[in-house]
Amino acid sequence: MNQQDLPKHARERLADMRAKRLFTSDLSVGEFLLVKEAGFDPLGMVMGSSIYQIDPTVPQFSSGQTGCEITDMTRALYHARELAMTRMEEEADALGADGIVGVRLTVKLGANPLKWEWDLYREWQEWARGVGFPRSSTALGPNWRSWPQVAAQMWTHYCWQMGWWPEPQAPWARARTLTSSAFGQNAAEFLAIGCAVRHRDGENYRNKQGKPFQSDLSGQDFWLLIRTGYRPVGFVMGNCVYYVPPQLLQAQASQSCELGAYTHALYDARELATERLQDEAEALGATGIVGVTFAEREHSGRFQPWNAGNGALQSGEVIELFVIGTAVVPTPGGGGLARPLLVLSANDAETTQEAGE
Amino acid sequence: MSTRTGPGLSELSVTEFLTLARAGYFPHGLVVGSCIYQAGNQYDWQVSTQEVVALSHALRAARRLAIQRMRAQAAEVGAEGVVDVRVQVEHDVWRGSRQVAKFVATGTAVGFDHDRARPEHKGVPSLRLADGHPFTSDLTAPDFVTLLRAGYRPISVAMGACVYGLDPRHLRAYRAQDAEVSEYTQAFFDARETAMDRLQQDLFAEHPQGGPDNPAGIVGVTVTESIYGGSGRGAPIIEFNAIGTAVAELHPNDPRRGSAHARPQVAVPLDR
Repeated sequence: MNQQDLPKHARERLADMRAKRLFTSDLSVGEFLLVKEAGFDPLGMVMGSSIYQIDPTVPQFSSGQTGCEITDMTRALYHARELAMTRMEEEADALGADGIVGVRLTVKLGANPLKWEWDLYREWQEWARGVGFPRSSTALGPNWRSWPQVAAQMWTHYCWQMGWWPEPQAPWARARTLTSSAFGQNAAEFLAIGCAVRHRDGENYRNKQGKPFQSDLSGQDFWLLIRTGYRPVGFVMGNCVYYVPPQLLQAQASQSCELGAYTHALYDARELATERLQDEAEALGATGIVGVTFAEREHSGRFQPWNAGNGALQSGEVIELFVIGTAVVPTPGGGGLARPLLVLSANDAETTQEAGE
Repeated sequence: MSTRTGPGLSELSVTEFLTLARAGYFPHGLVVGSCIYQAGNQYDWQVSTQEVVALSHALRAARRLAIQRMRAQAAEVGAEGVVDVRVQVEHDVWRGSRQVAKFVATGTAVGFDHDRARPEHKGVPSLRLADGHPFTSDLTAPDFVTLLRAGYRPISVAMGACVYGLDPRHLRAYRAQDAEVSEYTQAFFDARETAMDRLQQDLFAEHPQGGPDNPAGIVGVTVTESIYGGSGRGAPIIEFNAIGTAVAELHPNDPRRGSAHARPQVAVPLDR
């Protein structure tokens, strides 16, 4: 796909929105009002996505070596996110936006087909127990992969008993919301969604490169930041994919000790990712980064059903450290936020919990 | 004119109810609309990466019917509109090949209580649309009140759908390399944008620009997705749904607007 080329429907939608002066936003009502109060008008919901195939080759090690970074994979995972974010930025640019708030960057990793099937198997077992089939009829043990035939027979029998005709679809055969299984095992979708905003009085809020700023702050946080005298200049990220060979993942039997090499590998990966994050912020001329979050994800086959053990102990562990944050600079005027008001909420605990979700 | 026929059933919590009542609105009852729709045979389409137009149209028609029925129920209990609308969709493949979708839309019908309203709110115009239908909105009751205070009123739930087929053969070309699967990217990107584009088009077809219910914007848009097939159950089909609430501006002198000088305050909650 050409980088400069948004899909036809995207261009249509953005042009239509501009012509009709309609805004769309994924902001909640509260966020919408606060963004307006901060002096910005929401223009529209913007998004970008990229589906990326990542080759899971891990380096071959002789024994005694420590782990190392897999630079190809680091680069691939970074590039995929960058593609998604650049496309989102292009959409915002087409709307004439000054920035994007509430950016969410999500990754939908392809599911392990074995794990997927195991989950369905468990779901069927649960259903059968719930409607009263004996436990022994669903416990297939090591032959668990033959479960679809047994399940189909059981379902037909059950429907006949209940007098259901035509036979409806079994509960474990229904649609799933896990789209990533469509990609195959080693592909993932990287999706960036946010809300494009423009300053009402035409102040320039674009960043050093003349692009709309991006920020992962919610509408509430954005308002607070603007009111306290800072403004976001960009969404910064850093990542690092690290491989830890299997012999470093286990210590001598019957011993409590630190897995020194494993600790070191994780430490190293985290530092590398953070350093890349800082470099990005420096390139934007930022004075600080707020809302930094770390995400850690294993890309290796930890899953082994039916007592076959932990897959990582045989093949080693592939870990990705991913850091994101919003780079900020102080505004010349400074902020004038009033002293906070202390309140005691009269909502009961349950309602407060719901509202906080 | 809305008159309450009896005690209104609602699923509002106490806080939600009080927020609504303070703004002069009372629940008229829980309203439901449903539709069961059959969308052709799954062998009607081929395995290729493109939109499955028959399914997209079916989704749109079914959702529209469910919302219409819910709205008719709201009109019957004399409500001005429905808040907290949720659309639940359940898909089934019955007897092997027939695609059947069940739609259930539920919400709380609300109306203005002229007898018990605060004096400054006496005689406010109804929130019903220009054609006399009740409004619909997927905002919660407190969000609805906040929206009114901010000078906007909800018009209707805006929805758009796009169902896309995927060809699993595309992935074979990318074996053992790090690269973008551009066919899939294009498909997903296009499908999401189509869903959002339709949301806008359908909204403007129903409430034209410059009309009495001129939409100023859409708040709270979410795009959800679900998948059918895949993983050894045939070629995957992906469904994207965009849903949000279209809002219009209130009259500048409407008493329901909050004062323009009110500014948000920073509050620190003292309970955990």
